[in-house]
Formats: sequence, structure tokens, C-alpha cells
Amino acid sequence: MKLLDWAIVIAYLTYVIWDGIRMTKHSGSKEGYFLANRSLPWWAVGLSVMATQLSAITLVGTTGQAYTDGMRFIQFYYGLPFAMIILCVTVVPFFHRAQVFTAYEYLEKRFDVKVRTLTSFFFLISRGLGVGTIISAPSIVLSIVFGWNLIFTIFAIGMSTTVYTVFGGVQAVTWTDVKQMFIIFFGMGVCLLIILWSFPAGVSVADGLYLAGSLGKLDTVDTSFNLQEKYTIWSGLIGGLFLMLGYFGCDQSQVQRFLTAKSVDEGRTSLLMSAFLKIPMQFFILLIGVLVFVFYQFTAPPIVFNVHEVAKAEQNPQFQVIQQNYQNAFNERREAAIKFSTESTEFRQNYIEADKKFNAHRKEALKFVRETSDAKFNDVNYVFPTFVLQHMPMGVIGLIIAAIFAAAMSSIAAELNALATATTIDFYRRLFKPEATDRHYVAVGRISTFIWGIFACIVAIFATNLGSLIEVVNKFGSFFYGSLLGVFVLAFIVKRARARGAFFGLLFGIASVWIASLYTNIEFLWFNVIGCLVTVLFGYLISLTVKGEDLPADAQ
Amino acid sequence: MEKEQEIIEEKPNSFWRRVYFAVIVFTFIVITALWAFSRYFS
Repeated sequence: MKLLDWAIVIAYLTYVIWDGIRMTKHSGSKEGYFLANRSLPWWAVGLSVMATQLSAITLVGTTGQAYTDGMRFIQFYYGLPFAMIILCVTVVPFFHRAQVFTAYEYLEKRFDVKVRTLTSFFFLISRGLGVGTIISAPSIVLSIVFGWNLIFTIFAIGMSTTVYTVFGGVQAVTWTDVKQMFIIFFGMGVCLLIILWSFPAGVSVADGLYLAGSLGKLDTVDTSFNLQEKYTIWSGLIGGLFLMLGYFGCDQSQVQRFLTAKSVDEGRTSLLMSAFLKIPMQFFILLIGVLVFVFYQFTAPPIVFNVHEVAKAEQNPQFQVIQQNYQNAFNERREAAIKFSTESTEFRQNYIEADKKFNAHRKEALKFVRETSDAKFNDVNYVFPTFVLQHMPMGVIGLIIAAIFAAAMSSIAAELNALATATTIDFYRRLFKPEATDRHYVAVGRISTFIWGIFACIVAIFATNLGSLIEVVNKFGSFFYGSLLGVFVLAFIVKRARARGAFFGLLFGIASVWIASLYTNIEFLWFNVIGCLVTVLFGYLISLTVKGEDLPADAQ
Repeated sequence: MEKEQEIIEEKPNSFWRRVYFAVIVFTFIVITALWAFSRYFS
């Protein structure tokens, strides 16, 4: 990194922290600190909704996943627009008119305090762990780029975000999200253009896409109905629908976004913004990963992207043989790629065979590096940052690092703010101090934000060894979201549902997901469906055993 | 007062039904376009 790159990153960090802290003046009251006085316009809330979901993992993990696995991951988002419609019809108007601070507040009105506390507790667990993985992604990038100690990097990112969230509350979160989204779009747009300009003479964008397409890297619709296949149109439309309903409708980090909107209409419009933009945006990010793959058809990619671990393996003479074989396989594939791109499609099969051979050598190298390494790592997460560092020009490196920072900080800030809101409103105010001044609750909110920031950093240290980061976060979510959604389905739709049913239904739902993950090969998106259905079924059946218990009047 | 006025001016359900329908149509078009994109380059 050159001086200009440093200047861009430092300028970005300084501006965002200053911009967040100056929102302190709007955050004196409980309503202002946690809900921005319900005064924000739809476009700001909409961008904040998207920024919260688009974390650094989306940039680093998804581009890496597109490089290795192609665009199949896009199917994960196919259920999102339908989930948004369902939420606009049900949850948005309901929560807005109920004037609640958290989604779980309603569950006490509908059921009892135990159900509210349990759901809020599971939210705290799942998001507390989730935010840790969100911090670890950019920390990996920085630890590679600067050669910093990973633990120091984790605390540097996590705590800088914590600082402005502590002071500015939800106002700081939303308005910094808006600016961060522009930085992300700009950074990734510039990155895309530079990759396209980096193709060798005579190889067009279409040629590059044909190369990727011939290896199945552009597959975006898999119609096979296989529960053991991670990404299919069905797992996206059904499993993804349940996950998105749970995430946007029952997760405080998203519910809090649309609770800050001026009105029901503005809240709906903010969610529909994601319904229109999310799939195209994800396509754009995955396309960058695929184009990085095309770029590396003509320029030798690192044998393993985690260059730090490669350096250790290089001391072994056996690895030099592997490297030589890898280089030969790359040369062969490059020739096949050039022939396929510039001469004739008859060379397609040669290219596919050459790619298979190349991948076999890369696998062998990866296995060797893993065996000689004392640390567990997933090479997918190192693809994009290593590419940026080695092939982007001065200034653009800084811009992309700033974009990765922006993506990370926008998500971390929203999560910390939501964790603090649930802690303050659902636990502290409800269970310990129901009658206190606004100033007192804001102070508790600030302390909670700080403590959650520390907790998330500690989780991040362990999350760096858990595999592909994007999947780690989604897996964490899938363990809880389906079951949480089930409780809200019981609350909204099942009139006969009672507190005991909701409470034990939730526990059964989470247990069923846990059992499914241990004893079956079902892919994690389906956990959301299992969790929700088991919770509703058991919740209903257990409710039937409750007699003579009427619903509270205000929950009708 | 201003806020009350905004709540009163909520758009009718018929408007939202048209918007939801547009989202569904748009999503099907996008998925179809992605499928066509994959097929074209494979």
C-alpha cells in the first residue's frame, strides 16, 4: 500500500467516525437514541436496510465464492422479494402502529414475558455471534495487507465502529450507512472497470464470460430438488424465503431499521427498495468474483491465496515440485483459454480438461499447505483481498479497502445498536428498572453497546477459523431464524396459540434444527423451514393442552 | 401535527397491491434474465 492508499483509508475512517459522533446531539432521548424519533425518510432507511445486510463478508466472501464456485450463490436471494412483500403486508404496519422498540416487545402482549425474554435472548445469542464473524472478515483482509496481528486488527475495526455507535445511536448508524453504501458502490464499480481493462488484447468481456460459462461458473438457476444441494432455486425460493422472513421480520437489527421510518408507507417503501435492488446488486458483486476468475486465466494466480501460509510451505523441497507442476498446468490452461477465446469453440473441451488438471494441482497444493500449516483457514476468503493487493493500482487499493471497511462497519454498527436496544428494552427496562428517565436508558444503551462491541471482538477471534465466512454467518442465523419466525407466525396467525405453546414450540424448533444439523446432510437453508414448521406445529399442539386461558385484551 | 397528517395520507391498499404485483413480475423477469444469461454463455 502506498501513501495515497493510506490517506484514502484514514480519511474515510476519520470522516465516518466524526459523522457518527456528531449525531450525539439527536440522541438525548430514549426514542431518539433507539428509534431516531421515528422520523427518517424511506430512502435513508432503505439504504440502511441494504447496508446492514451487505457486510464485508458479502464483498470478501461472496467474490471469493464466485471465484471458486461460480454464481450459484445468487439463488440464496431468490426468496427475498417475496419475503419483503409478506413483511410489508404484515409486520411493517403492525410493528409501526404498535409503537414498539423491539420486535419481541409484542410477544409479551400476545403471550407473556417468558416468551418475550426467550426470543430476545436467542436474538442476542445469534446476533452476538453473527456480529463477531462480520468483524473477522475485514480483519483478515487487513492482517494480510498490513501484516498486522489479527487480534489487534479485530479490536481496531470492532472498537472504532463501537465508538460512533455508542455516541450517535441509531441516527449515527443510519446516516453513516447511507454514506457507506455510496462508498461501497463506487469502490466496487471502479474495481469492476479495472478488471475489465486488465484482460489481454484480443480477449473481450464476452470471451471472458464464455470461458467462465463453459466451466459452469455462470450458473444462476439450478432446478434440481435436492435437500443436500446447498444452492438451488428451491432452496432459495423456499428456504431463502423463510430465512429472509426471519431475518427482516424477527431480527431486531433489521426491524429497528424500518421502525425508524416516518410512517408505515415509508417503512414499506424502504423494504421494497431491497426487493428491487438486492438480486441485481448481488449479481454485480458475484460478477466481480467471476471476472477475477477470468483475469486469472491469463495471469498466474497464487498457488494458494493465503500467501502467509504458502511462505511456510515453501521451505519444504517437496512443495517446489508441486509448484512446478502447478505452473505447468497453468501454462497449459492459459494456452487452451486463449485458443478457445480467440480461435475456435472447438477448443472448448481442451480448455475444460486443462482446467480440471489445473484444479487437481491446486487441490494438491492446498492440501499440502494445510498439512504443513498450524492454522485452519479457508482459501476462499483470501481470493479477493490478495487480488486487490497484487493487481489494483495505487489509490484504488485504498478505495477498495475503504469500501470493505464501509461494508463491515455499516453492518457491525446496526447489529451493535440492535443488541443494545434489546438488552436495554427487553431485559434492563422490563426486568430490572421499569421506571427510569430517558437519560438513564440512553446511558444503559451506550454501556450495552460498548459491552457488545467487546464481546463481538472476542467472538471474531474464534470465527476466523470457521470456514467460508459468509456461510458461517448464514449458518448461525439458520439455527435460530426459522424458530423465531415460527413464534411470530404463532403470534400473528394461530389464534389458538398460547404462551406455553410458543415457549416450548420455540425450544422444540431450535432442538429440531440442532438435530437436523447433527444427524442429516440437509443443507442449512432448509433449517429455516424445519425450525419454523416444528415451532408452529409443536406450539399449536402444546397450546391445545392449555385450558381456560384467554388472550390478553391488547393482543387481539 | 405534521406527523399525524402524514399518517392520514397513507396510500390505499389498491396502490400497494399494484406495487407488490410489480415486485413479483420484476423478480420473475430478473430470474429469467439470469437463467438466459447462464444459458447464453454456457
